[in-house]
Amino acid sequence: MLFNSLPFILVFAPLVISIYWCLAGRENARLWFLVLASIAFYGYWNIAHVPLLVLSLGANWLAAGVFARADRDLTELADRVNPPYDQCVMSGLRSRRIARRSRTRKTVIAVSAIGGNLSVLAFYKYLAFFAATLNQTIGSDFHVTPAELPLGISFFTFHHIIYWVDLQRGQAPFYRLRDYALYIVNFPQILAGPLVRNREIVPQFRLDPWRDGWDERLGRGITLFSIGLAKKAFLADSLATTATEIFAKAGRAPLTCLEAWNGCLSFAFQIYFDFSGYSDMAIGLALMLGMVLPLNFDIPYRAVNLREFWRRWHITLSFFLRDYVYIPLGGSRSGPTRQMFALAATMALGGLWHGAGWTFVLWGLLHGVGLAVCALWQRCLPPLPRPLGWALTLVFVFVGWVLFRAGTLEAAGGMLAGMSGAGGLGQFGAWRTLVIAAAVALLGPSSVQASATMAPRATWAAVSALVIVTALFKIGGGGYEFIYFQF
Amino acid sequence: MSSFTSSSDRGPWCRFLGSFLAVAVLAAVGSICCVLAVDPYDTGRFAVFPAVGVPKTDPRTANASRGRDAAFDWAILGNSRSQLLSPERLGTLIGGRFVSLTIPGTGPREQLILARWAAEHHGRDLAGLVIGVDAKWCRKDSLSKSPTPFPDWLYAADWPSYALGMVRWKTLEMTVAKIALLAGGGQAARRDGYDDYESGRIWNRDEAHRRIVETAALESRIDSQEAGERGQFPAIEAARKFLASLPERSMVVFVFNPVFAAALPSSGAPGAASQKACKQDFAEMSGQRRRTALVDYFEDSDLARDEQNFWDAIHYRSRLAEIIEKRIAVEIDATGH
Repeated sequence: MLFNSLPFILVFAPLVISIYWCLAGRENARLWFLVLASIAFYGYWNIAHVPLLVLSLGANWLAAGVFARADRDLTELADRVNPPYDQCVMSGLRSRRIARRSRTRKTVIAVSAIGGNLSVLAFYKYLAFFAATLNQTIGSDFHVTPAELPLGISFFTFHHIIYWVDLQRGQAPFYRLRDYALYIVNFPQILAGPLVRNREIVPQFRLDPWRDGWDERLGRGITLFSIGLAKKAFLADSLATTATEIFAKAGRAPLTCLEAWNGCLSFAFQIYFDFSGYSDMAIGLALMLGMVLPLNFDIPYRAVNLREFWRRWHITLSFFLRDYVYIPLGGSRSGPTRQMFALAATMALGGLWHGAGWTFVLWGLLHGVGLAVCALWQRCLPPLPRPLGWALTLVFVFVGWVLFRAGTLEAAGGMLAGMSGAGGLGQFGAWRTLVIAAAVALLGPSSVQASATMAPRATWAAVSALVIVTALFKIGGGGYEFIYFQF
Repeated sequence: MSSFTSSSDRGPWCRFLGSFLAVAVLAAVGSICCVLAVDPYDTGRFAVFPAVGVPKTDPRTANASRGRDAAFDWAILGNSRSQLLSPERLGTLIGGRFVSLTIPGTGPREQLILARWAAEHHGRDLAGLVIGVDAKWCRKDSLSKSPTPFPDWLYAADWPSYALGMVRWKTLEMTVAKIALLAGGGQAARRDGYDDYESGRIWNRDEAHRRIVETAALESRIDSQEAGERGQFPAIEAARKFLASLPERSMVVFVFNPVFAAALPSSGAPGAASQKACKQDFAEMSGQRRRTALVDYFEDSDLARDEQNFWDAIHYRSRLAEIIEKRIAVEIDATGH
C-alpha cells in the first residue's frame, strides 16, 4: 500500500490509528494489532511476498533466541563436565574458557545470521546482476531470470542486520517476538525506512500513547504527514514527468544542453521531495502512533561540502554505513590511506545497495572519492568560501544523480554529453515547478523543524486539512510510486 | 523526542485537532458533493444543473455524455480503426441520428462497456449500433485491458466506484470547465464525437508506403499463445450476452475493419487459423439474432492491396470509409431497418 493512495489515506490510516488508540490501555493487544495491521499493509501490495517477510522475521528471532541462550547452555554443559565439588579450584579457568567458547559460538551465530540475511537480499536483488556481469567478463553462460524484488527487502534486511550487530556488541537484548516483529514490520517504516536502531524504537512500543503530550504528538504528526504528502503529490510527481521524459530520451537521441540540465535538475529535486516527502509521512505516522522516528533529511541541498551533504541526506542510511561499514573497515583512525579506501568502499557498497547496476556502483564510488577528497582537503587546506563550497557541492551532487537515474551507462553518457553542451544550447522546457521546488528546497526550513516549532493555531490545522484534501484529488488518478520502493 | 512534545498546555492542541478534523471532513465532503452536483462528465448521476454537454476533452471521458445523449439513436463503436466512419454520412445514408463513440487505443472490453452504457441510457429508443471489429477480438485474451488507461469508474454501475473515481485532479479541472460551460463560456466537446484524423494532413505516397511497411510487420504478429479456436474468444461470448440484453428492435452491425493486405496473417500462421475460427463464431452469433449483420473487410482484396486507401497498414482513408459506410447501409437495409 502506498502512503500516497486513497485506500491508505481514507481507510487504512484512519482505521488502524483509531483502533490502535482504542487499544491503548492493553499493551499486548495494541502491539499485536499493529503487527498484524502492518503485515496487512505490506501484503496489500503483493501478498506473495508476505511469507518471505514472516519467514525472515521468524528465522531471525529464533536465531537470536539461540544466540541469547549460548551463555546459559555453555554454563550448564560446564556444570555437567566439572562437578560442583571442584568448583572453587576450577572456577577461574572455567569462567574464562566458558566466556571464550560462548563468544566464539555467539560470533558464529551472528555472522551466520548476517550472512543468511545478505544471501536472501543477494538472491532477490543481485543474482541476475552478478550472473550478467560474469557472463560479460569471463564469457560464461549463466541464465538467471531476475526474481521479482519484494518491496522493502533492502530496508527490512538492514533492520535485521542492525539488530544482529547490536546483539553481538552487547548493545541490544533478546526481544520477545511481539517487539521484534514490530521493530521489523512497523508500517510507517517497513518499506523505505527511516532505518532505525532497535534500541531507539523498541522501548517506545511500551509507552502509553495517551501519555502526557499525546495531543501535541498527534497534531504535529498530522502536520508532518500533510507536508510530506504535499511534497510528494505537488512537487515530486510533477517533476517526475519532465525527468522521466528526458532521461528516457537520453542515449536514444542527442539532448541539448538546457534540456539535459532540465532533466538533471528535475530529477535532483524530484528525488529529494519524493524521498524526504516519504520520510516526513513515515515520521508523521509514527508520531500519530506515539512513536518518534529519527530525522532522515535536514535541508541537504544547503550543504557547503560533501561530508555535510551526507550528514543531511538520508541521514539514517549514512549512520548505518558509518557505524556498520565504514568504522569496521578502519574509519579515520588508521591513517589517511586506509580512510580513503574505507570511504570509497563504503560508498560503493552504499551505491550497490540502492540498485543492482553499474551506474549505482559508479554513483557510490563517485561519492566515495568525493568524500575522500573532501576529507583530505579538510586535513591539508583552508576551507573554501561557503558560497563556493555550496555551489561545488551542489553541482557534484546533481551530476552524480545522472548516474543514479540513468539506468544504463549509455543513457548516463547521453545525459552528461548533453549537459556539457555537445548537443547545442536548445531550450529549457518546463520550469515553473522546478523554480518552486528549488525555492522550497534551498530556502525553506526542514519539514521536521517546521512541524516541531509550529504553534497550535487553527489556521495551520485548516491548512493541513486542506492540503490533504487537495492532495487526495492530485493522487486520485494514480500517482508515481516512491522512488525508494524499488530499492 | 522532546522536540515534538514541548508544550505542557494541552488545550491549544486539542483545539488544533478539532479544527483539523472539522476542516478535513467539511472540505472532503464539500468538494466531492460540489463535483458530483456539477457532473463535469455529464453522466446524469446526481446532476442538479441542466445538461449542456461536456467540456472539450478526451473521448474516453466525453463519451459518457455522448453515449446517453437522447439526440442520437445510432452509435458507432470501435477504436481509431473505426474513427473515420462519419456519423453525418451514415445518417444521410440510413436516416438515423448517429454518434461516434469510437476511442483510439481501446479493445473489445472497453468498446463493450461503451455499448452497454449507450444501450442502458437509450433503452428501447436505441435504433442500432455499428461495432468495429479488429484482430484483438480474435485472440484468447480479447477481454484483457488495453494498455492505455480507461476510466472504468466513469461507466461503473455502482455509485461508490463512480464517486471514488471522481477524486482526481482532472475532475477538478473539468468541474471548472463545466461551470464555465454552464455560465455560457468555454468550449464544449463535439456533440457527435466525430474526430477526423485526416483533417489537416496531406496523404503522401512514399510516406504512406513507409508507414504501411512498418505497421504491417507489427500487426500480423499473433503468436500461437494468443491464437484461439472456435469458442475460445471471450470477447465474442461477452458480445453474445450483450446482444441478448438488447431490445429486439435494435440493430447491430459488426464491421471487420480493413487492413492493408500485408498486415493480414499469412496462411498457415497461427493468426490466420484464429481469424478464420473467429469469423465463424461471429457469423454464428450474428445468425442467432434477428437484426444483426456482419460486414467483413478483413480480407485480401483489391481494396486491401491499394496503398491509396491507407495512411498506414491499419488506418484507412476517407475514400475507403465511404465505401464501408455504403456497404453498412446496404446490410442495414437488407436486415430490415
